[in-house]
Amino acid sequence: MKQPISELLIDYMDEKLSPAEKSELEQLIQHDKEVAGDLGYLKLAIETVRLKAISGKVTAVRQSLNESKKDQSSKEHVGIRYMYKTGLRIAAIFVILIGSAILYKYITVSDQSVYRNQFIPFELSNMRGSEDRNPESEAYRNKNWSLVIDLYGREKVKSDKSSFLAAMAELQLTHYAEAEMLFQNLVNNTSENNAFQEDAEYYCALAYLMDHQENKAIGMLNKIKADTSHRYYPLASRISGIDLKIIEMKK
Amino acid sequence: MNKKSSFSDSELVEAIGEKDMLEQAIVQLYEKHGTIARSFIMGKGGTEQDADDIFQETVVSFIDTVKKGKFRQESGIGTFLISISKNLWYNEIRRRQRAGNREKLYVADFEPADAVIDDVIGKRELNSMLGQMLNELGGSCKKILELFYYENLSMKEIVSHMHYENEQVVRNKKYKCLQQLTDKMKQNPEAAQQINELIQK
Repeated sequence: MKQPISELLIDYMDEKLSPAEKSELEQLIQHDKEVAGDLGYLKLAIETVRLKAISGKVTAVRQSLNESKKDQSSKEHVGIRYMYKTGLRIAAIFVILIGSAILYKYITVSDQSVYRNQFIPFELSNMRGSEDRNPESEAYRNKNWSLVIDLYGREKVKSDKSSFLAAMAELQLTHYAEAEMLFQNLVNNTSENNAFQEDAEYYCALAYLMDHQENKAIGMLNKIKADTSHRYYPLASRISGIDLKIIEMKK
Repeated sequence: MNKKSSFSDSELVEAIGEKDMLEQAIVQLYEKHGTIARSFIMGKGGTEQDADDIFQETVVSFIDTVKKGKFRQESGIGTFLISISKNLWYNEIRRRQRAGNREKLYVADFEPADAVIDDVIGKRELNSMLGQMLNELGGSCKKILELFYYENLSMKEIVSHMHYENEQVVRNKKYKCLQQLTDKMKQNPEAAQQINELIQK
């Protein structure tokens, strides 16, 4: 044998030896512990190469599976994040809309706005009583507010009706303090003959609003709203509790 | 064997023996058996990384066992894999304890392994050392040896694959690489002792 023994052993493992060479080497392996040992090392080296190759294949599959798992998880994450973002957007829009509505309400609701919405001119056709053709009534129908007040001032005996018409005339002329005083007298007059108490309560509340006496106005309006039999209940109940709250906050 | 979505145990063993089916077989080993094995390891004090590493080692050992024709199919593949995983993990715990790591022991229900698994466990540290030595040879050595001994390519195929001048150059390189590897094995006292014990068995 001319080849070094190490190379022969490799050729033996690779099955490159002729039958004669193989037989000769096997004899040597049987009788020479060192050569047998070298063959053992060689076998283990080749086994290591194979094992390492398998390990490489498994590592590649493991990495690929991990990558696809990451991709999937990332897609799910993006999906959740998208849903979360969309949810947040909807919530934000909702909050903005609600906020805007509240802000709009807060800005637009005032003593004046409530007064404008709630004030209905008192019509004499609705009058209760028989004396509806006197000068004061005529002046009222003609919307001659100053004359109504003047005639009222000259009256020696002031009826509930003339007091109420005078109060309404003062209200029309934006003399709120005077109107309040006349209305309040009628409100305080609890006699059964007073046909104008409920009218006076409602218009007095409106006069208080314009005179920036919100607490008094709200108290009176709430009283009317609490009494379904009140003549002005349908009108007063149109004013929302929120509007009254805003007026209270703004004062 | 055609590509299929799922192999039976016997088909899986057959697929491991076929070069173009191996990858699919590994995927199935991971998908079908990975979760249970990994859960076991994590339930016995292992981290997610431990579980991944141990199961990878399990799959490598199983494929090696099948390729050597040592896998007896009396026990199912799942049972065999779990058994290897358990034993590898218990072995790893002991190794860490020896290394001074104060990790909680979970070896109370240690199962005696069969001969094949004993062999896997017994050579675990040695294989790890030898794998490291192979890595130290460098990329081209490792590649030539792998193409020849694992992929079973001829010298001619390796020449075209790795762009060497001719077959003789590859042959010489392969001799040299194997010689270097065996020299490294002999020069490492710990490895040499274990190898000598193995040879004498």
